[in-house]
Amino acid sequence: MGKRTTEMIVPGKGGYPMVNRNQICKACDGTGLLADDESWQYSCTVCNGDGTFTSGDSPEPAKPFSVDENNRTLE
Amino acid sequence: MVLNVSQKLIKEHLVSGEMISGNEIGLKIDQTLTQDATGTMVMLELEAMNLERAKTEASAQYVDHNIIQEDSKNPDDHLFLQSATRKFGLYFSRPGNGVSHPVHMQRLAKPGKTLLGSDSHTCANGCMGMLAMGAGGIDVAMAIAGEPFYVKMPKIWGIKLTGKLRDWVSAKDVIFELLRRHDVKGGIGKIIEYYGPGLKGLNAMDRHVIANMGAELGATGTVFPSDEEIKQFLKSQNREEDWVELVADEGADYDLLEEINLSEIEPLIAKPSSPGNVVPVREIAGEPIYQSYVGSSANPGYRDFAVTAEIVKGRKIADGISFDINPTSRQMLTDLVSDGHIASLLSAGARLHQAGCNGCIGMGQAPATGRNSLRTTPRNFPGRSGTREDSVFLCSPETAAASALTGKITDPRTLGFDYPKVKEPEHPTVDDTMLDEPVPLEKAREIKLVKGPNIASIPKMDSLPDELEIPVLLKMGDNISTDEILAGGARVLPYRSNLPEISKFTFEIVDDSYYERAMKIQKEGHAIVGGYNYGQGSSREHAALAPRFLGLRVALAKDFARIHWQNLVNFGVLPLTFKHEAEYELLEQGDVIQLSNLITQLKQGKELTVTVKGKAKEIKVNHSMSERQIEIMLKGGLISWVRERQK
Repeated sequence: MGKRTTEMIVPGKGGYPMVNRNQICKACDGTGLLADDESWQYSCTVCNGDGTFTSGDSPEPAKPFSVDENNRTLE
Repeated sequence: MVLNVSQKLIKEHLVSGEMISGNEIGLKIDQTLTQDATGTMVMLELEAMNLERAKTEASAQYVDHNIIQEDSKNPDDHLFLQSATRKFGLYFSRPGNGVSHPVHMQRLAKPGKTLLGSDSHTCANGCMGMLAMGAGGIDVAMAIAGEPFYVKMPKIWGIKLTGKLRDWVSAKDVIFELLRRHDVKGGIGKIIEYYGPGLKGLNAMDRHVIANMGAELGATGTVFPSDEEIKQFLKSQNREEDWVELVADEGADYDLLEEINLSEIEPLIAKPSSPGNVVPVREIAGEPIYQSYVGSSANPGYRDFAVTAEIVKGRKIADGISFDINPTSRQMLTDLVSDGHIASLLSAGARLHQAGCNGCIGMGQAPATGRNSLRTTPRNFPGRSGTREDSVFLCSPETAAASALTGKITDPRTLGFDYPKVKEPEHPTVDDTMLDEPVPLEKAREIKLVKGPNIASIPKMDSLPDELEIPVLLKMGDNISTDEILAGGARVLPYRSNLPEISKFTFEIVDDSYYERAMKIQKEGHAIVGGYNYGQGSSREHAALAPRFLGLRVALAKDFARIHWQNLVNFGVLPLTFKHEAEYELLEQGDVIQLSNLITQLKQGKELTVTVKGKAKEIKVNHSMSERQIEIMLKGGLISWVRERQK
């Protein structure tokens, strides 16, 4: 399984920090959002919504997601 | 036998199983509903099934989600959907005609019928005395092809409504009250059935509001009786002949019982970021807002917009507020214009948008980062508005209008003037100009599908071989989600109607060499190994279909997330679990596994033997498919199974 670490990016007074293009999350393409079959958007579960991740050395398996009967995420 | 409305609907449509809660039952589906986000794949599935004509009484394809035409992709999809509906004998609701749920209610819904839709808010049409349920795209394609829908028999949860709503309180507050009591999982495995004297004060569209957000409780469906109110609604739509009475028998019982006294409800609001996070509006009054948004299938009625207009009429909204009006059907928009309500809204400072889902699903009108947005929409989980750090509150039209006037969250009872009484139009507009009827069969046979450059047919999927000797291309850990299998991001989603292209992104998060390695042995096939909870996460049929296209034949895991397991079966990927979980450790990426006499093994029992080539290893695995599912698996998945039945 791929290893990953996540760098938290928090918008502050100066706005978003500069992003290293090599660290843009492949899943959400840096937007921080994904969409399900019906086009409902939700926070990217791969980068936790910050839009970036690096291939690092800390294995961090995804947590179980809370979903409804039709697998629409409840978070 | 004494029955409630839900039991009557189920009994009338039962084709297999027993009406014992928890048992699998098969239901005949009378009507279907697809929206454009899910519909393109449904139509491609119908093509792959070689379907000549829809076998339902009425099936409708709505274009309400992807209606912003910033490049050619959406209009290409619209043309494809129009051609597919003409070919397969479906209704086609053109872009701009409105949101699927209210338009279906106005023009096609019929009491006593079943409706299956590839949209989670399909349950809204339960307001018409229908059994209306949301499902996956392939389930709806199957229903259009005349196959039953299989579901576990739900418990019937009777909600007795008493009393009468007070001024400034409306239907949205009723469903908020239920969400306040039971949160977003309270309805799982249940049909919510409303009954009692309180129904008299709720018109058909009020009931739509309540039924719609049954989805937010996780319910299988919501059911209202078909009474005089529904008769009047159908009469207003020139469809009185479609009405049948459907009410619970005297003395009918429910699995669960609850009462809501409408007289006791006050204006409620769901705080960020869950529809279950409900409090009285007065508790958070005074919070500044950035946006007030009215519309969506969760408040789609003429009344919802008219009362908003009457509240702001002759007044101005607060400085700096984005007051967004999203009409839900073209018919109703016409009436709102005729009756002067749109003029009142615009004069007050509203922004008027086209009839459609729009900002409800984040298609435009995304709020500014971290700013409070009040919406009459059904969902406020993080990101649903299209802004990743959003702060969305769900509320009634009354609260949205009051707050737009003051610029802060406002209990509408504190506005200081009388509650405006809104009268429904005596003769509302009925206009099917943008709802194309099914084309007659002879003409439909001549129609060719119009496929833009980004729409590709689903290739034929072969049947399951009796002998498999395939390599393990990936070994993964626990909780692998559908996002890791095939993420629904901005790069990937444009290809969702193009299976060969979207497949290139499969497992790229886990191992970006997977696609190349799989394609080299696409015909021979391969396996993958996962840990616990494999395939968890968001709804995504492509997470099963794309790996299948690349040659995935066997998914071996410690256990599977339920819906993904179902999707694997549907698309012909054999899901197996380790009999002894410790044997997960025996398998490595690159191992070649062998399954012999597979057909016989599957038919004979739940246990199979997997051998690992060259390692003298033998692993016991289990499957948990029913006889029906084994039959589907052997044919290579649902599409091939149905295709054969169409011959």
